[in-house]
Amino acid sequence: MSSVVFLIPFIPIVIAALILFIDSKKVIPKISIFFSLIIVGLSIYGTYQQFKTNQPIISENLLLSFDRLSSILTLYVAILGIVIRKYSTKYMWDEIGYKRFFILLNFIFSSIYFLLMANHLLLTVMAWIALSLSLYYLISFRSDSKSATYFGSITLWIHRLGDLLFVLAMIMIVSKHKTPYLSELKNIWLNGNFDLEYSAILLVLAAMVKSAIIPFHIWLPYTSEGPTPVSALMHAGIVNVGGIILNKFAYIFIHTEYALNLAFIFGLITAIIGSLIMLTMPDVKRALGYSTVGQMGYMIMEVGVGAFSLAIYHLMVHGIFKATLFLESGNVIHQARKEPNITKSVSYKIFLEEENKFNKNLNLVIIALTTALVLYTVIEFLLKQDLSNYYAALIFLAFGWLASFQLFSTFFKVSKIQSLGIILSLIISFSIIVLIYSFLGLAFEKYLYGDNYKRLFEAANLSFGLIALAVVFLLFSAVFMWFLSYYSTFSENGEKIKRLISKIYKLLYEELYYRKFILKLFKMD
Amino acid sequence: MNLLDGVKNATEFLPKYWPLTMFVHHNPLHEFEDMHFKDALKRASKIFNTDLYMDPSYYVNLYKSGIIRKDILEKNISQFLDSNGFDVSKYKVRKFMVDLSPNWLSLKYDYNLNSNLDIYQTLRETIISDKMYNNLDLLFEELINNYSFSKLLDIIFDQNIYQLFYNEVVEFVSRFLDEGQANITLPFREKGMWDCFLLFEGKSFDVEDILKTFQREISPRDIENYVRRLLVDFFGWASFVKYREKTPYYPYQEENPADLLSFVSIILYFELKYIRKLNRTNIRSYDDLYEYFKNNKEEVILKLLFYRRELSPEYISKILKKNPDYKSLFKEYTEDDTNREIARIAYVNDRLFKIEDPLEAYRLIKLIKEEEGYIWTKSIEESYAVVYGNEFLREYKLTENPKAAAVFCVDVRSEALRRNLERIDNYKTYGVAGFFGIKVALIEFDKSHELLLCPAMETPERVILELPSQNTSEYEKKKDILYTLKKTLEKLKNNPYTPFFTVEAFGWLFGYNLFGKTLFPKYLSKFNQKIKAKPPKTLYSLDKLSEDDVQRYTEKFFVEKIIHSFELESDHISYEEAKDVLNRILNGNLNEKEKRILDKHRINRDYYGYIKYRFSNMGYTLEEQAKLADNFLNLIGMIDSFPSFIFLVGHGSESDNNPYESALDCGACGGNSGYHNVRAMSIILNNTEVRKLMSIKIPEDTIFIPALHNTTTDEVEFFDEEVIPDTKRELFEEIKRDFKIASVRTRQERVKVLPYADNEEDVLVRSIDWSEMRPEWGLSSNIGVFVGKRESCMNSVLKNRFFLHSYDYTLDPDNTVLKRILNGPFLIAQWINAEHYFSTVSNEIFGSGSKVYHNVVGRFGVFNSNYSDLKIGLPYQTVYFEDKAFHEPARIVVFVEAPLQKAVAAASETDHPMMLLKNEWVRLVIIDREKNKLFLLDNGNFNEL
Repeated sequence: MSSVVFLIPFIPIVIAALILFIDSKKVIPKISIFFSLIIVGLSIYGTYQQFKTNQPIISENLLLSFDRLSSILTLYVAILGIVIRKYSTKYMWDEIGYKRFFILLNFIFSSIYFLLMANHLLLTVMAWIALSLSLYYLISFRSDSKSATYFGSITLWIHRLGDLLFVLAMIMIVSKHKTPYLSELKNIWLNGNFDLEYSAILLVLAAMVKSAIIPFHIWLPYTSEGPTPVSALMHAGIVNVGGIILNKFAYIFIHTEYALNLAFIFGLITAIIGSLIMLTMPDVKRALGYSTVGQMGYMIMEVGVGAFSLAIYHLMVHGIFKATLFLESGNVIHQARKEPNITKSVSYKIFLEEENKFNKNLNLVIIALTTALVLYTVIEFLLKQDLSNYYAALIFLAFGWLASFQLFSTFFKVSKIQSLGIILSLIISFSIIVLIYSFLGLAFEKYLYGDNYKRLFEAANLSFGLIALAVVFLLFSAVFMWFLSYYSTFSENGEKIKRLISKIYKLLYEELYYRKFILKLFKMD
Repeated sequence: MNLLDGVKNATEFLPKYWPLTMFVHHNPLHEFEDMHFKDALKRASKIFNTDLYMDPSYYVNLYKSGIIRKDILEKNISQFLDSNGFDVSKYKVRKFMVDLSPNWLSLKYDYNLNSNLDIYQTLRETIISDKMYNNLDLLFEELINNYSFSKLLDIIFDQNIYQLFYNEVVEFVSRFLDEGQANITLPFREKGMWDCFLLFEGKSFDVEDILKTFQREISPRDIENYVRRLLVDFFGWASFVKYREKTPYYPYQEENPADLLSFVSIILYFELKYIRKLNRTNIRSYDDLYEYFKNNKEEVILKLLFYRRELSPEYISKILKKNPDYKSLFKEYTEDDTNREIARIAYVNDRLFKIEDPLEAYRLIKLIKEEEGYIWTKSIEESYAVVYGNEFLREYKLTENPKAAAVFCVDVRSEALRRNLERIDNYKTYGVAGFFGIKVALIEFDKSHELLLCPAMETPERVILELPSQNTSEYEKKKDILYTLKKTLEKLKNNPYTPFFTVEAFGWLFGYNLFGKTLFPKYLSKFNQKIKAKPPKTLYSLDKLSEDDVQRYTEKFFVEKIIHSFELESDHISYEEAKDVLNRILNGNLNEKEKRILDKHRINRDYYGYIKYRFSNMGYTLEEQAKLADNFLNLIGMIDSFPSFIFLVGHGSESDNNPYESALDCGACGGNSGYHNVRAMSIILNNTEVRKLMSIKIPEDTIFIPALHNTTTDEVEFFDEEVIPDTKRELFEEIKRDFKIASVRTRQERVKVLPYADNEEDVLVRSIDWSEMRPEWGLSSNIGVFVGKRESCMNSVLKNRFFLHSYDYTLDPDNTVLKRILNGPFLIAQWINAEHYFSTVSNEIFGSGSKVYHNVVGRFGVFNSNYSDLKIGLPYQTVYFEDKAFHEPARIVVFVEAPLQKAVAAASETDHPMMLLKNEWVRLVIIDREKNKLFLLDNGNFNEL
């Protein structure tokens, strides 16, 4: 009965086959959505079943397996599937190739489901490759546009590199352990002692390609060549595959020393630099693209620190966040109409005899800020007591401090009302959110990995030096940025600072000169 | 010629393109309006390298469905034949246009060898000379005129320069013009486009230096033509820069001034830079190119023809082979092409025209192919002129007092609602330009920027403020909280260190929109309405301020601004101290520190004078208000027999996730909704003091009620109902019910033309659905303007295709009203129609392509995908339905109900409208009731219809 979930990867193929014979534009989306609802139903059932028992279901032929990880992700992708299909119904109505679009959409969903549920390594590899291919077809969907094909092929080339790395990793694993079944491999890894450094590193590199981590990130921001729903799907579903695959193979890292450090370093660098470059982009889709690069960097960094399931949590929440932003990217103009950023001119307040002076009490602000930071630290330590042996917590703490600082300082800068009640409710709601968020993160860990999650933190093997370096880098660069932005608002600065600012800006504007360099190197410009 | 002058001349042909936040329908060929329409399109077609008429099959469909009348088509064909001196049967030409012309291309590649080709060999020389196959130098000149030098290097020598240089320009220009999308902005924009660019590239030379260097190195034969070619490539960006340059008071232009000369120089700089960097050939200039051409004529021409897709498939494969023999290939190609051309002419002549002299046949067929687009377009317009003109000649007479009157905007979308309302009961409706006689700049009570509520080509005369008439503290509090939360979230997102924590902690919240908007849009929008802050009731500051008040408020405004600017420098000063500072600004003795702070925030004497001027320009005196009211009522011809209710119905649209939402709002109100205008005008007209001073006498119990027509859902909402006395309540409720029924009927009408709409619900949901690409058809399918009494067109079903302006010529002895209409709504309608025309015939160049690939850039426009030319014009989904054009591209047909002499006299006293009529950018039909005849303006003459 429970193996009925194994129908899931096949259902989109069925939809695609049905659509092939239908020409009515009204019927095509209806069929897609109807069957997607079945997928949602099946995945809810599967999740519920996994929730009750912690036994992964393995198909008779050992090709597919369905465990807690697959259950959550399948449910997530299924719901995303319905949203994307419904959105595309009206959105793509006038495009030539409406039918082709839905067929390709179903193919890519099928590849994702297979990837999520594959148990045989060969199947994983095939799904992985099929994913790259369907992505290429969807990005270059606009057949009469040269640039679409161009950017689509860049994506394909880079993904091919990832495919190669992944295949190599798989070959190494199979040749070492002589079994291609993930279920067996998991047991072997949990109860043995091996040196799997090279395969693990190859795996990490492959994941970095798929999730657009520096230096493999140049394809992601330029995928806005595809229709908007494709971009939304990509940023919410496909770019996460790196993090997902690392989770599927999580136990391999118990037998490595440096593989996760690699992920940590590159993830952290990507997180900061990606988000930085995003701030210079003048168009909304490329800005969102670089934002995703940054977020994926953070996700891989979380894996590098040992917080594997937190990465899953992150990718799910980020997917919802990013998909929404893409699907409503046309609203930018509406926002601009409501609030053009121009200097205040006359307003009716002139006619009021008395205007309430809003006093900003600096002391109050400092007290509130400190309270928030302290509360945050306390909550974190309370909840993650047993993790405090691992320096991982430090990096999260650093990010949390920066975020809380920004949140409170913006609030006080912008808000006109500064009553004690408001401040108190802000602190309380902040604490509640932090509590819920930390609690959820912890629950995820336990849910997905049981007690083994501690072994993953050990596997991360974070030396104090590395973490300290990272935290210092973070905080210092944050301060440096703040100084730069402060000085750039004064245009009477000396020539030297002007030139420095120009140089730094140009660096970001050219995306660190990296992208053009790589394209030229491979003669793809 | 002077290089700078050449560049300036080259920029003349550009239109202005307004930002998407206040979309203005404009004629992209506005600068060509001093030429006749046909000539302008011919010239533009060459410049832009595109067809400006539809494919013949499109028109043939219209003909076959009866929209284009047979008699009209044949008349136009006769006109064409006569003016070109052909003695051929018009029926044969008609047959050619309908049966043979749509397949013209396939006729070329699909012919049967006709043994009688011998007599056609006389054509050979003419054809070869027409195609310039015998004068390769001339052909070469013609071809290379279409491309910039880097593009020529790409085409002829297989380089890859153009796209890279193009992207570089777009990257820079989009960041310079950015209006708030990027958080880290291009540094030093405030120094102006050129200086900012110099700092960015780390160079220092003048604009002229670049022009001279470019001229010297690349040596284009005519710098003016060359620059024009580049501007066509960057058409969207250049049009926007032109708008910025010509609108110095636009806030972003004030801060970061841009101008066309700098833009052109930047383009030339980058082209030069990339040519120097990437050109791997030794063709370094046009001189080198010409030299190369001398020895490789056939190769170059073939490659150009290949790029322009003028080679047939078999030659494409031949040219792609390795090391083709260009000389023989070219000879082969030209012979083949000429033969096919001859055969095609022979085919048509033998079967259809049977003209003895082949040269004459060739000349005829060639001319028909050139002019058929115009003939068809003309026939569309005149067919409508005949059909509707005759309908309008019949007048409907209402013999009793109407139940109520309603004044709508001339916008085409009010037509269906008006018609349905009139058929429910005896309503009298009027049409007027959507600003309802009051052109103002308005500052909403909770905003700090001005809304320009008047047509884009005009500047508002006065400023008014919206004043809350209720306590706003609840509203302010709620808004403050929502605004703060939003801003906090934004700041967290846009900081390189904090978005990660933010996503993990708050990311779930976005699921509300993602799932809600997709799966339950209606419930979501209802819920959102509930939690939104409810704005208080408001009034407007319509009365002019006294001298004392102006002084007092200017001072107060300035003191506040001074305090605020000092606060930003962390320096607190009291009210009195700030007042002191103000006096010192006016007397000119500030100390160093004060000067520095105030200069940074641009608080100086000039600004004081400007603000004082603004305050004294606020509002209208009672006499001025009376004059506004009188003018308004005279404009629509409502001077007596006032019913007890007169509704002023403005319009606005509602859509989600739509960058073009401003295009659907009221164009007469500068791309905003007509809400404020109708309310302000109602207040003025209801004011008893104003009524006393008016020359038109309005009875005491007549009330003006403002309303807003939501053109997406066709709902009508009424405002300011408090002024209605209890005695009239019942009548008002009845009228409201009638409006509701009219809305339902209008929606049902629209269901038939909207895709995936089966019932009313499908129409209503379009206003809140974020995946909806076409919330309404908007102004698409507009074809005409009717200026006259509503009674003449009340019986006609105009299907939302006509702009309807009320006009009574008997009340306009000196033509002032007619002239005002010609200088106002007439021009707006022409711009709207032209925008739709060019977006339909050439959607990729003059329209903005499919919305699916749009990427909003800089918060002012869209471009395609990652970067491209700024897309101006209307998107594909607005004018096309699936793969067929929904909008019928033809010039707007203006029907004026007035005696012929009167209309001519009025038009002759206008400037721009007269030019449009003379050059036939607009078609004119006069409905002369005195003679009971219709007159069509055609080729300068008024012909009876």
